[in-house]
Amino acid sequence: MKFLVVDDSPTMRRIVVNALKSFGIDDIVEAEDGQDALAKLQSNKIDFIITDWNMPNMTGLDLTKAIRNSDQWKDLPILMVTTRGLKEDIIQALQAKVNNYIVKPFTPQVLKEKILSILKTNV
Amino acid sequence: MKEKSLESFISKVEELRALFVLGQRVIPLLEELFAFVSETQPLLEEINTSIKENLTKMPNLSKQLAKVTEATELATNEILDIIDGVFYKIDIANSNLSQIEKVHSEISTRLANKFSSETTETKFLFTEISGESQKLSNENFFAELKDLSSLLNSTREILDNIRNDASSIMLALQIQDITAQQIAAVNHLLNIVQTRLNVLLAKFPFFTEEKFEQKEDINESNINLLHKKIAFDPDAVDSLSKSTTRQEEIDKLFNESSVETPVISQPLNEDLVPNEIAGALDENSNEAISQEDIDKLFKEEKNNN
Repeated sequence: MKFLVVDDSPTMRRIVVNALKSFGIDDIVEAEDGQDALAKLQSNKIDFIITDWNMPNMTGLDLTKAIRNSDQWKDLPILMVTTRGLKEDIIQALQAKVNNYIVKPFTPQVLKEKILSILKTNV
Repeated sequence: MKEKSLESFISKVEELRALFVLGQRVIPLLEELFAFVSETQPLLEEINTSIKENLTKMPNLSKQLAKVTEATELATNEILDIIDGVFYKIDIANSNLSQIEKVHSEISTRLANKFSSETTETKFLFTEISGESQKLSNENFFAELKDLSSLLNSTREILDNIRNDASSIMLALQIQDITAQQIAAVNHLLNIVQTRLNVLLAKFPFFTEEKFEQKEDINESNINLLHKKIAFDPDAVDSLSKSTTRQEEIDKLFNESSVETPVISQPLNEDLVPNEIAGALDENSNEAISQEDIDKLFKEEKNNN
């Protein structure tokens, strides 16, 4: 199962990747913004996306919309991990059809639970 | 005719008199106004100087903020490198422990078998055992093996604790991303203030006589270009103290939402799901995950689909 971690902060990518590795997930691709993520989607068979919201060039929200509007990847599970915690933000994320949402700073337990909750509906 | 001219003349004189009276009343007011303007001018000049000074300080302020971001990023990465090293050493220690456990288990089994059987092989082996080994064959030997086993378990527990602590430190480093966003937000505000002050200076003609000296190299005066490009959440300031509450609120919102989130049309290949995750899925297949809120939402959505 291949995960795509999208975040403009190398520190955050490293933290998420390390957390995933501690869950036994080793097949991980990284992207630094939405545009890069779309490119990585073209060249890899991704099964799960974990994305930040605030990113230059293309935000996580725009990435989600682009994915949902594509025929190829519209059903990909997307977990948004961001500092944005306002109600309007969550509503926007829901409307863009993210599968779940985590606000930073998060704990590995929360990350694992959210991944499980998404996978549980799909396995 | 002469009477009328005289009346007209008197009327004009009266008007003139009224004008003088008005003038007499207005003059003190005008004097006060002039005094006020003369008093205000130094104040305005002071404001002007202050604005100019602050405008020149802003790029420096922005540079300092950029340095803070870079320094925290560097420090965070150094800590992450160390944590990676700790994880690597824990893995080696765990692997060594496993080998010791394996050898310990094999020795225990073999010796137990050999001590309990009266086979020729055992007898042969007993003859081969050196004086040192014979010492091990006393009653305390199995107790010692048991002690060794519990020691190995306790060491493994300690290693697991170290791993958890290292993971906690690693996750606490998320603060670097959050503070970087906060600094970027402050920098953005500085840029807005800089732009508005420049506009304000340009609007006052007496200020423009000695225009604020814009450096020719725009890179050195434009705050936006001084700071590393960071996409930021303007409300990131709240994210440190209220994250737990916010996550609960978010889960609630997701629960209450009637928006359909996609469910993978092709079921995932279970073989591809990492063991630990797959294990957790099996464990939880008949019971709710601790965050009931999330499940409710997604169960509803699955039913809808």
